[in-house]
Amino acid sequence: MEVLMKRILILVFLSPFVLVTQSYGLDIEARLKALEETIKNQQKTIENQQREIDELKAQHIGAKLSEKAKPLVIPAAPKESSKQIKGKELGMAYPINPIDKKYSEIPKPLEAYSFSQTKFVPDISFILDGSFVGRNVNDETFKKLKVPEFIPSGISNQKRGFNLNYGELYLYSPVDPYFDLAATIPFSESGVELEEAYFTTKFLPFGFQVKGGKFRSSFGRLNPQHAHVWDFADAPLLNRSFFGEDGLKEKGVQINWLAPTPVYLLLGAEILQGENEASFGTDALRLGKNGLAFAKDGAQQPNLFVSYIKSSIDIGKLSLLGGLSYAQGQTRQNLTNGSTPQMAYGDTKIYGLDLTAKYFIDSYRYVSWQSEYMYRYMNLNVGTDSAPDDPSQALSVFGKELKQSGFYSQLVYRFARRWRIGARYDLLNQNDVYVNGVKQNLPGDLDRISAMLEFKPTEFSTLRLQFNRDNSLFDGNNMREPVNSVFLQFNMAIGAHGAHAF
Amino acid sequence: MVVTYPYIGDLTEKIGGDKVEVFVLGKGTEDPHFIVPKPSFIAKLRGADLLIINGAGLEIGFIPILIQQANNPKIHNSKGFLDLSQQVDLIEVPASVSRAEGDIHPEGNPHFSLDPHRIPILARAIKDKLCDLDFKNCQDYEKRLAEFLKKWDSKTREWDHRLSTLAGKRVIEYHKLFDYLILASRLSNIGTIEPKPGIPPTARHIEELIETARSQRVEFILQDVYHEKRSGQFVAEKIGAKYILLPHDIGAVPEAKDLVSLFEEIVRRLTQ
Repeated sequence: MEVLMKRILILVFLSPFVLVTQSYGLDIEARLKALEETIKNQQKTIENQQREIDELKAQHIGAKLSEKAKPLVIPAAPKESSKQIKGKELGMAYPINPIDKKYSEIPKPLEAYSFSQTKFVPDISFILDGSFVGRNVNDETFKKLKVPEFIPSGISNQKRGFNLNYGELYLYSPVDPYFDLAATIPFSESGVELEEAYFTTKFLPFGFQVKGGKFRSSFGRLNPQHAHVWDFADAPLLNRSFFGEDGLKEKGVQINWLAPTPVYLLLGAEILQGENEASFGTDALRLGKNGLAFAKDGAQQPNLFVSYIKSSIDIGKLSLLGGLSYAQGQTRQNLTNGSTPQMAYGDTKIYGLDLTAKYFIDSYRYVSWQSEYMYRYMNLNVGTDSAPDDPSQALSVFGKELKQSGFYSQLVYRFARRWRIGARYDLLNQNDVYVNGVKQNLPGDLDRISAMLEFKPTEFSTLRLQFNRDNSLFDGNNMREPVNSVFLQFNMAIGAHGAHAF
Repeated sequence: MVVTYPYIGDLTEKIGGDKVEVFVLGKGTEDPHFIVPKPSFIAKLRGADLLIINGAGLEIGFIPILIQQANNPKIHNSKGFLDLSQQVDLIEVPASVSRAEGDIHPEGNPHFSLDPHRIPILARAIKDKLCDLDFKNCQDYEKRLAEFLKKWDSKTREWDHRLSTLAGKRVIEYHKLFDYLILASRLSNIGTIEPKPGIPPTARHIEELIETARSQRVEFILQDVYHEKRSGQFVAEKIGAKYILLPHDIGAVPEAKDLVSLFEEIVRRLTQ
């Protein structure tokens, strides 16, 4: 209707100009005649258009009335019959043609502020994770427990009772035709962190993609995943041992290549700063006393090189995904514990192997088995000042070699659309540590079992009950301290959050 | 080329003929909202010249992540990408959206492929896209399109005629999956087995639904192939309505082998 009115107005306003130009050079009589003619024509046009307007009005009211008269028809139905289908199909009369549609899309002339960019707001989501924790040892004791040579004390800041684990802001948007940008910004009660912020390319040919910024390394299966897509409330012992509580996330560049093969085959390489405290580190070390010093310059920067290969095949309803990963870098660790300064430098290599098998029963049910194995080799020089207050006692310096490995294996069954149940077994199976070539006597059987039951009302909310029996923890006197924990966890997401990878 | 659902695959093959090689991600037996983004799909998308999707948020759970991982610049822009929902007007476009109302699609109901009258629009859009990408074979595509439309035209008239006996009958469906079909056959939709889109039924909702269905004299319960069947059968039994298992896409039932036989089967099951 508005368009029609607008056209009439434009016609009326334009007509004098048209007339003046057309009639230029003619004598007055002829001009008058022409004028009359034109006015008549316009009169006719206006009458026709008025009739059209009336008809349309009548139709519109009619449609509305019939809508009221038939309460059982779904709301959009009357609208459908009058205008919904574009184009003329199969000789049926559809009143709106695509051109008319185009005109009606012309923006209204009186917009208050025409430079608004609100339509370009990126996808924003917020994920909140909290838990209630029950444990058979108190927080003081738990804080001091460690997994010998794997995880130093203070392994987890989860307290008994209520925990607010994180509130994570996630942003994602295309930058331009060439790049996408994503950022993960977890808030905790003590501060904010820029956990991930990276661009990815989308214009490179031949199956290449480059990622740059700060991101979770694609080493292995679990490491690249965000905590909220994990199947359990906590990370496996293995990942926490080799990459720390937050996993391997670094500043750097990743390049990956998807091979032009009928099966999925992805090769990737990462050059990373290598600041990860659990296995690497870049800072210069210095431990001095009485003019003697144990010192080492900072590591090369960038310091860490990661490469990986991943492949997948489908066999009927079964999907298999496997990967091999390798990480190599220099190590600079400040191992100072309490009042005993200790530092270490050297080289570290980590090898990883992962396999996931997922059997899809139907659209809502599946059985998933996921396992990962890693081997770490560290060759270190360690300096210790065992008596910092006694100037007469010299620094002790020794060579240390670590050959360590472990795995986790987890089975998850989504037995109903909203329910999942799962079990996980963690084992750190090799812990060979040599000091100056002498093998140390360290405890074995560092294992843990976990079980979980999950209720997931929609893809945006999760409630999870998890039980852990942890057999890997030791106190200050190297006595094993079995720890039982129960987690009641919630994880919820609001806003525009993209779907997750396989 | 890669397409998300079997019906798009069939349309593309009908128009493209031997000039195209089509890989279909989803199966007719699966819930179209929850296709798993398997790595094997990434390998298929890597070499694709064209990705055709249904659109309107139906693929939101798997297509964006697959495109991100496919390292294929062709499907990253509008040249090698076709969203069919952009070609047709959608019904049930909500004035406002909230996830409190379940899995609502802000763009409107995405299951438009179940309206036989919308299929020619989709076919034409696919033809235009194929001509865009492969101009030298355009005449061939146009010829195939014309053939398809001719057949479809006569079939649609036949289906319209057969469905005309159903006009005004009242139905219940599981999910708002058959709304376009209901509209095209002038059936009247009384309610859904799920209380809100994507939310499984509760005992109380079923009770209320049965009450409404009784007072409205519902005649058919339209059940899709991928949701649980018990609730629908229970309601049908309680109110004495006919329980009809309807395919929503090619492959959902063995009889639905292509688009024509899909609609043939839908009409047969509805009018039987």
